[in-house]
Amino acid sequence: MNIEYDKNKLGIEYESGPFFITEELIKKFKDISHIKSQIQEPDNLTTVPIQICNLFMPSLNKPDIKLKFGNLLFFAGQTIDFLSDIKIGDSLTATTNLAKVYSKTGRSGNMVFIEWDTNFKTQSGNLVSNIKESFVKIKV
Amino acid sequence: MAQNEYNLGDQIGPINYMISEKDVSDFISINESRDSFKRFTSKKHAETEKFPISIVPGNMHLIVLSDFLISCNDNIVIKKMDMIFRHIMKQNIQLYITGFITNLLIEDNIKTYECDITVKNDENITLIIANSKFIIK
Repeated sequence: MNIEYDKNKLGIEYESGPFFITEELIKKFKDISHIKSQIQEPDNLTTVPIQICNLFMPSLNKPDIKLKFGNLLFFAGQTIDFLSDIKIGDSLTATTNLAKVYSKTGRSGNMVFIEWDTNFKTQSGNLVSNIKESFVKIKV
Repeated sequence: MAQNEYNLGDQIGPINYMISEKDVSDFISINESRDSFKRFTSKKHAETEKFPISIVPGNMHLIVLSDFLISCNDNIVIKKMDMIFRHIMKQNIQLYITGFITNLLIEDNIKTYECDITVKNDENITLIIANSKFIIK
């Protein structure tokens, strides 16, 4: 299947942030960690859950790739590598690039997958997390 | 409960879980970009984007699955999580989350466990397949 989209966007890095890791943000994050809060007391606030990077994903700077296919876009999957610790007071920056655009055919017909690759670093350049997100676009 | 080690084939969970509209709106309230979240909180907006119902934001599931592991053993430190969605995740449905230890790697005296996780609905349909790597602190 020939996929029409802006191929010039492939591999280009887009920066987002800074995202500030504040005590208030950690407290709110722990409040929404529903399962854990049912079972145990909240952790000491100095421990920052590394999965907090995922909160910033929807606000990343990503270009419109002008994909000419389908009308329903949704989340298909995610891979996250937690690489080092985050502390309160850190400010994170994210670098995102369009990694891949490809098609698959399933029972419901053709689907186009769009993959983004994002690295989060601290203010000192320490890589804390790599997140690969995959979205799928279909025709309904 | 804090287990110090696992064997291949050990089961983690299962737990019953439900993601309510309030859980979704609490989650969205701490995200910075709220405009892109309307389809998760407004049925009308969901319909304009061709969704038949309000769904759960995809990136919320990483937090749910991480919490699942940590709530079953608070000594777990997650190193990697890989999730594949097999269906759109609706709000307010009963979910069953189960993990199975599938591999153990030992490097520099550190044991890294690999765990397959499934999220099923009450019709036993698998909604999410995930794989996590973790260590025990």
